[in-house]
Amino acid sequence: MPLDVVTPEIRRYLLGDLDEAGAAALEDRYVADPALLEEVRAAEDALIEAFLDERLRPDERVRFEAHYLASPIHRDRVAIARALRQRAAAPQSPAGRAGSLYGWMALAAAVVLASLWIVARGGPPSQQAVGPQATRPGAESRVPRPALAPPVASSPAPGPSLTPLPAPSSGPSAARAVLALTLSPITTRGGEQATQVRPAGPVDLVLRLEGTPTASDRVYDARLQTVDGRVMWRGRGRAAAAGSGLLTTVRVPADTLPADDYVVVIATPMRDERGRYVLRLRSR
Amino acid sequence: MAMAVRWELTASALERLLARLDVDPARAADAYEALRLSLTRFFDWRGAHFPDECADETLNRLARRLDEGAAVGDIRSFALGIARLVRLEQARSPQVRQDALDEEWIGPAPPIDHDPEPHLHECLERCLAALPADARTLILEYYQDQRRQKIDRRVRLATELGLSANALRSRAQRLRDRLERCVRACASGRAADTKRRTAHFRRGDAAGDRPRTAGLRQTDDAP
Repeated sequence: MPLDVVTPEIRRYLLGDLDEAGAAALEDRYVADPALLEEVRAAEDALIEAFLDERLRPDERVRFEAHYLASPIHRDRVAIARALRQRAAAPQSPAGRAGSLYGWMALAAAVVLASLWIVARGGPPSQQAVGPQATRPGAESRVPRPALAPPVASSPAPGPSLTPLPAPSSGPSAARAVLALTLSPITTRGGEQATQVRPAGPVDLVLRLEGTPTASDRVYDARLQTVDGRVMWRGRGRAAAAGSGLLTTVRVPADTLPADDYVVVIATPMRDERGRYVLRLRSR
Repeated sequence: MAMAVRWELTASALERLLARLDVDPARAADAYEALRLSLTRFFDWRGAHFPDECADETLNRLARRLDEGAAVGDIRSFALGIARLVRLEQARSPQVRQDALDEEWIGPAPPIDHDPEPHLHECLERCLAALPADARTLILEYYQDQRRQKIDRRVRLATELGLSANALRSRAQRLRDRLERCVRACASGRAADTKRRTAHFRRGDAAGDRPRTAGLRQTDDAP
């Protein structure tokens, strides 16, 4: 049911904006009338979808968050609807999930390898640089423009996970190596797997995550999770500047992470997911 | 000290309730389910923590009143009256207040290493896998795309299945309800141990072992 078809009375009832007498009258009617009950249920779905699509009016969004989402059951419902959307966007069977994921990983790894550069700490760059370990035919089509400069120094407002990188010429004073990678969101599948090798020693990964921030977004919560959903790291990044081609940039302490396959999930503080990226990490 | 004896639903009381809903047994069963659904929705939209349990409690009390020979006019209105009372009792329940406090204590801003939905995706996968293949396809198709593309997709899906838009929506809602129940059961089971340990550390006692139930009590003050 489109949201604009929902009657104002039902809409206000679900948002807790109907007076008690009005609410009781509506309840009397829907308990006696299965068709009306269905209508209210459909209206609830329309509200949830409008919330997830960010189509609610500001006043309705406030009421939705304050009233509807006050119920744990409703929060679960919205979370499940959101998860179903995410799952539907990646419609693979659990059995086929790993294989498909490796396909995404291959694409992402190709992107990683193509846009990789290193800002070295002490020692010659050749000791810090991470070279391509595998490539996949056809990956070029997903390779973004090459990264030409340290990404975070020009980031609009670094957050906790956005410590500005030293410039490439900043010399050996920095204690940690910094590896900057550009990742494309998971949108397509296919291809073979490829491997990303992490250098030995303390190293931060600066992940430049491609995408377009929604205008109202200011900050994003980032989490790095394994394929089976274990969250290994959390951080926060500011929304990238409009037109930059990036959603956000986050800095991850790679040496604290075991070699594994990871999914980087970016969401607003209200848990509206904005993008997923694949990072496959291997030790040298 | 006098103790309240909890009334249990008997076969004769249930039969009496069904007979009041419809003289035909099959239609009576459907009417019972429809009434239960509407009551569950009532509790749900009124923010009850356990809508299913509240609806069952309401129906038990309704059956009891009928079994006791109470003069009941419109049975659905009468049931709704009981439901409103159950809701008020539930809102006053110390257990519910404690649950609300727990929630407030845990707080809306999770610590940096806390995943707000640690089991959701895993449980969703399990529950989707438990659906018949055609149902799984339907629900995933239904939730694919956004905005205009989503509407177009649903129209196409309804046409392919030979359903009206409303019938497709109802079917998707039923599947989502089923998934919701499954995911909730799965996630709460997986979170139980973690939650108990967390509660133990936070309170410094074994309160984390307390079961999360609505704590409803059978009373004699039904309308």
